[in-house]
Amino acid sequence: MKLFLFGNLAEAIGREVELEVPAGATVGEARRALASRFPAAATILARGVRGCIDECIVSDEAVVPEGAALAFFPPLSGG
Amino acid sequence: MSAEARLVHAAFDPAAELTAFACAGAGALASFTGLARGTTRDGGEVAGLFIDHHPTMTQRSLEVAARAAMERFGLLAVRVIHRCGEIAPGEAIVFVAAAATHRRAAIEAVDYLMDRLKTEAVFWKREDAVDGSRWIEPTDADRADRARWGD
Repeated sequence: MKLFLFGNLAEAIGREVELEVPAGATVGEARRALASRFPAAATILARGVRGCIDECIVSDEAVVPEGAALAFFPPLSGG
Repeated sequence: MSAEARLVHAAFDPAAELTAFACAGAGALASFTGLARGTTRDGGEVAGLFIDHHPTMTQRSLEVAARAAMERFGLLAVRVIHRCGEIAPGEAIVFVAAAATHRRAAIEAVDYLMDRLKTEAVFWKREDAVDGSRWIEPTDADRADRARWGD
């Protein structure tokens, strides 16, 4: 699965990363797998990070469709 | 009637934007410009800001906020401009302007827009101080400001 990262997550891990997850994995499972692979980013991933599939913010329970790109958003801060 | 939203990658001139934001028939024009501060919350010297953005969702989030303000306050026109990338202290980060028939709608629309942008615009802001960097997150006060509009 291809992941896209932003903000402090991109700084810690990179903008894009390939992650091995089982078919039918949820956003929450992908987030925990990412934290296991990049322990330095685990603290960031544990708090306030939201998943985003096909440009829609989704819950941790959402299943990532096969072939979909998943993005993780840390808390937004505009203005 | 126009709701304009622009994501910009280079410095812009808020005074020129305000001048260009002429709106026939408006009786009121309100605007706000947010600048990159030169000091941190603790008084340290800031070298600059870095604002990360999403390739498509950031622009759309600005458009959604602009249209929402247009509808909610019955504006004649609205303009939202937001920087991304590297920003030097003193440079404008954000500019919002609202034109309306009467003053209260214009003033409230600008206030509303800034509260939305602080918590919902798709940006991630890092403050690079001389003694280190930190990623900025919305505060409880920012969230309370956003919640008071009830939408």
